[in-house]
Amino acid sequence: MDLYTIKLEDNKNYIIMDTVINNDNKYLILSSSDEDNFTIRKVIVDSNNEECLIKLDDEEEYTKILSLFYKNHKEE
Amino acid sequence: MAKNTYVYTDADVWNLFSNYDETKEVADYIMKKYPSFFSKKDAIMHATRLLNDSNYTKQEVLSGNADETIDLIYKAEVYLARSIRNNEESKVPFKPIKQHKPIITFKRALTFGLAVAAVTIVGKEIKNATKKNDEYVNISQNIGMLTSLPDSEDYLYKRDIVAQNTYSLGNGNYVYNTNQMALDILEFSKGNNDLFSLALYDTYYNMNYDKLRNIDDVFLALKINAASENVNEGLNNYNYFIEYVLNDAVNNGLVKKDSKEYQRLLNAVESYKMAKLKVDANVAVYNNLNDSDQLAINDLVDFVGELRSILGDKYKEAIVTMVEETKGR
Repeated sequence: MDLYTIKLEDNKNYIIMDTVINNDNKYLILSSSDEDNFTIRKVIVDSNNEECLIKLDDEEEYTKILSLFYKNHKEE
Repeated sequence: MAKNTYVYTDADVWNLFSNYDETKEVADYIMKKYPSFFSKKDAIMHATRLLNDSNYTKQEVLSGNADETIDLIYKAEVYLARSIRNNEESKVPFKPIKQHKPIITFKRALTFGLAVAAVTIVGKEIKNATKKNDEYVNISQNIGMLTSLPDSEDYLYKRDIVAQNTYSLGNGNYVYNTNQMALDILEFSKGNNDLFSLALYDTYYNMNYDKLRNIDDVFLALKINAASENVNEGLNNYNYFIEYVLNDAVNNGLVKKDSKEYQRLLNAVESYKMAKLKVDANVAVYNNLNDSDQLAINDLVDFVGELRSILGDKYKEAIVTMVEETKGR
């Protein structure tokens, strides 16, 4: 199976499990393949017009995105 | 709640829960498992969540059966913290790499992610539910206040606190169960008949039958009914309850109609009828009934207890069915 992975600031590789769109913003649901690990990142375009990943603003945003992810996959 | 000016500390809240041994023991276990991670308040919340929502018993948790769930709760908190900025600027370029991996790798990661999502969302719902009811800390604050208020304190204010707390717990049911709350009310209202009656009354009307989860809850509700301001309704419920259980027992051959147990029931029903006649004659409050009427009601309570021990598991089944039917009424 072809997967996309990404390296975060902790130098670990994370699998992109899903992409969630909320209020025109794109979020990546990430989980590491070799150990139990999980996080969410928001995709932004920086001043150099390059796509970057940043952390979320607060718990509310995190829970919202998590809920959307869960809703998309809860039957799986 | 305008008079509530004292800000309770974490330790105060913990102490207020000191009577709730089961929850506290489980909370202790959670805190020992991850030292310095969970606050006492959060540990209590997670403990009540394990005992009430996940239906673990205290023994199961303490013997390690819930460790996986506790571990996931812990991890969910860690992942939340890792995903939020918290004033630090962390920006990494979005450069995905295509890799070929076994599908099992993806499925395992997805399953884990979904488990994290589920435990986080449930946790959030619990927090919201308790927040809707003025937050669980406020509930315990109010209990603390009520128990320490002098008798001369404003009666209506006391009533407000009782009503609010019973309402909160009847609907939230996460901090600790309604059963325990009702026992608290009984305890702290002792010696003040007006407050006692009112507390029982409020407890009864704010207890939602949907929240009755086990025999003890049902038993307590019936006990409260019988002792509450609305004695009439209490007696009706007792009658319904006894008839239901006994008919079920007779139908299943557990009690024979010529047995002494059956005779005891008939006597109890007679006592009930006599007590009810008094109630119908406008004797409205349990405390105002004369001794023999109170004994009649107590007889019913005792009888239910006896029946319970005679019938064993069958009794439990009957209660569960009765509660189901009660919900549908």
